[in-house]
Amino acid sequence: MPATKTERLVNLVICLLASKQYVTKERLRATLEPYRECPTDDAFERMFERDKDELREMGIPLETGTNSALFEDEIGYRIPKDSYNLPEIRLERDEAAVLGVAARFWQQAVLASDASSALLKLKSAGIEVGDISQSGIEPRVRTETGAFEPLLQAICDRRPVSFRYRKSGEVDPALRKVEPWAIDSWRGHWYLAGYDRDRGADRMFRLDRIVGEPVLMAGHLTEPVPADMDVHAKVADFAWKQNRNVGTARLRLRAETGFLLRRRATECEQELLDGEPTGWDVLTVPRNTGMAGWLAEFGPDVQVLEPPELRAAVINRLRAAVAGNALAASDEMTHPGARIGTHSEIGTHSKIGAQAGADRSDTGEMTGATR
Amino acid sequence: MSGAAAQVRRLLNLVPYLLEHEGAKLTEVAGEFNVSEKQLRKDLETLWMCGLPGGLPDDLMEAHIGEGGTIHLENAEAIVRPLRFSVREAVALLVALRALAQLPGVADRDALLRAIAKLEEAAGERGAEASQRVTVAFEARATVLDRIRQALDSGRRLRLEYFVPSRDQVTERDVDPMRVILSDGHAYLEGWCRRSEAVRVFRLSRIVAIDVLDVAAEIPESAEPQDLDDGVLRPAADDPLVTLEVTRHARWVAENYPNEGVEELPEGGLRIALRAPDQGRILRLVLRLGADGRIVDPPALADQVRKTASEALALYGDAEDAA
Repeated sequence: MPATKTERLVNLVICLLASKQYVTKERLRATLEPYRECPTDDAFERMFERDKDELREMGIPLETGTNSALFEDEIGYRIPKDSYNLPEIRLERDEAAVLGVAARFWQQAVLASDASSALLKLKSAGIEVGDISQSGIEPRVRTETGAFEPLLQAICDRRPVSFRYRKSGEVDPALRKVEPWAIDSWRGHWYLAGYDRDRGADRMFRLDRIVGEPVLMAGHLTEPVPADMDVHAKVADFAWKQNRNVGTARLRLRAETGFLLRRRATECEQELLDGEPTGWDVLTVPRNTGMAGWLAEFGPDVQVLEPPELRAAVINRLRAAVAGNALAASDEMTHPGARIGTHSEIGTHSKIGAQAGADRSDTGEMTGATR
Repeated sequence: MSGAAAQVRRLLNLVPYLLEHEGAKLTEVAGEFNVSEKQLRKDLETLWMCGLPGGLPDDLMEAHIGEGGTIHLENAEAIVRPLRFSVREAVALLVALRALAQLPGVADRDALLRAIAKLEEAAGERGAEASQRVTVAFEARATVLDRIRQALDSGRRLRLEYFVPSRDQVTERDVDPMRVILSDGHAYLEGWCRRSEAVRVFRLSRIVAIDVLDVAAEIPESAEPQDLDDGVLRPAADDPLVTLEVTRHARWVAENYPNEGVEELPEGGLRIALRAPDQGRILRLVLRLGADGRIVDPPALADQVRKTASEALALYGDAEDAA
């Protein structure tokens, strides 16, 4: 019967909180009715052991000790008030007013209920928790990936974990044993920083690349947790590692397009042909290692001029996009005109580009950044 | 946790709560503790059986329900304070408050920082330490947030220059601000867009310019804030479905695009179904992917990718420098 179990546990807490001295097991058995009614010593022992475990799982600081050096074998229990009680907190009105937002912060149920119960404790301690929802801020953080909960638990309990992890671009996940240091949410993704035991070094992991759920391992952390770790810097570094800056690139960009490229450009000049705008601009932009994919996104609005390897990389991507997204064979059979139609359409665009290109090399009339 | 354990936790907190809120109403308290009124009544009945051992009448608690459903608790001095924060409670509370405090112009930052310092102390060493190990960052520039804050506080209209990546365009819009949403690592402005005459959400990092106008905001009563349970900027159920296939090098697509389902392919590839309100975005994605992705369906979109890529290739003529 849960009701009686609840009563028994609450009464055990009250009894141990009220006593300054350690209360022996015998005393508890004599005092608390459910223990008194146990038919055998064994039954009492089992019940009491389970109860102790449950209280500790709830985070109740149940201490074991003896009252007197003379009777060391007389083990007793108590719950010291200053370990149990929420410490005295004095919050100014404006400080308490901003706390309520924490309850709506976590979108996932488990942490949301932890935040709510923390706020409820503050309310029980007489603090008037306010809510700033009126001030127009609505925060939501998701922790939907299945790896989050076990990792959070591992961090709270300072335990090592093992999980299967699929590195970017790899087919099969591999088993990793990690001492978790920190988890960080950046641009909506969760990352784990920790010490990889098999690799003997610190590593970063993306939570959504963990396959299945991490398992808490036995034992403790062996490596010291870095004290002042800039997790954000590590995460940013990890997320952008394919994006090192490697010099500059020069591009032709169709006028009125490529806003983000223009924002990054260190030089931008209108392309002129015989003194007339060609409808294109020539830009110099900082180049990073992952840039070819980004430039391919702009399709016929961007033409890479330099460096040659970037130009080739973009051309390769575009060719692959043509090949990979070819019409199904049956469509080509039934609509033989489709390809021709496409070509003529390309013609109108390519004319501008081809002319400008030819003029640039032949006449030297180009002005601005292209020279 | 067993049902009994949850109830024990609740009761240990309920007692100091009721002592602190003498005469609180059943409905309010049930709401605070997120239980039904029926359950709360059961909890109160249980308290009658709890108290100091000894068997004297004054030893057990007395939870009376008075007129109008007010609760009065007596003989409950055995549990005056709530249990200290668990490590998880400290994490849930402190991480949320710190994430907000790092944003300029959000809430009362100074008060937040002072509250955080006091709660860290109350959380104890382990709770405070663990809470340092979880961080949440939102990207938002101070100037943009400041102006939105100003407009919200003074009830005025904003003029935005807003970049729309899928169209590669900067558009100008007048927006009557409703609220700032922090979600998925980004900050968004939700407001009534005068141009589209509808509630719209704008990502702060895409706001190129922002001004507070000397015009009062006029938000129609029909303007409903978006339900955020499934995230911001989520595709609608009736947006067209696109199927992509990507190689193992482009598995990140599944990580970065909200999708309707992912199927494993040989060699670590994936088949991904996306709802795309704006096919321009998917077109750009597939151009970026090159050999690492292709559109399976709809054929018309695949065709559009092929045409666009062909047009781009034509710029290079006979591309002597292909690798």
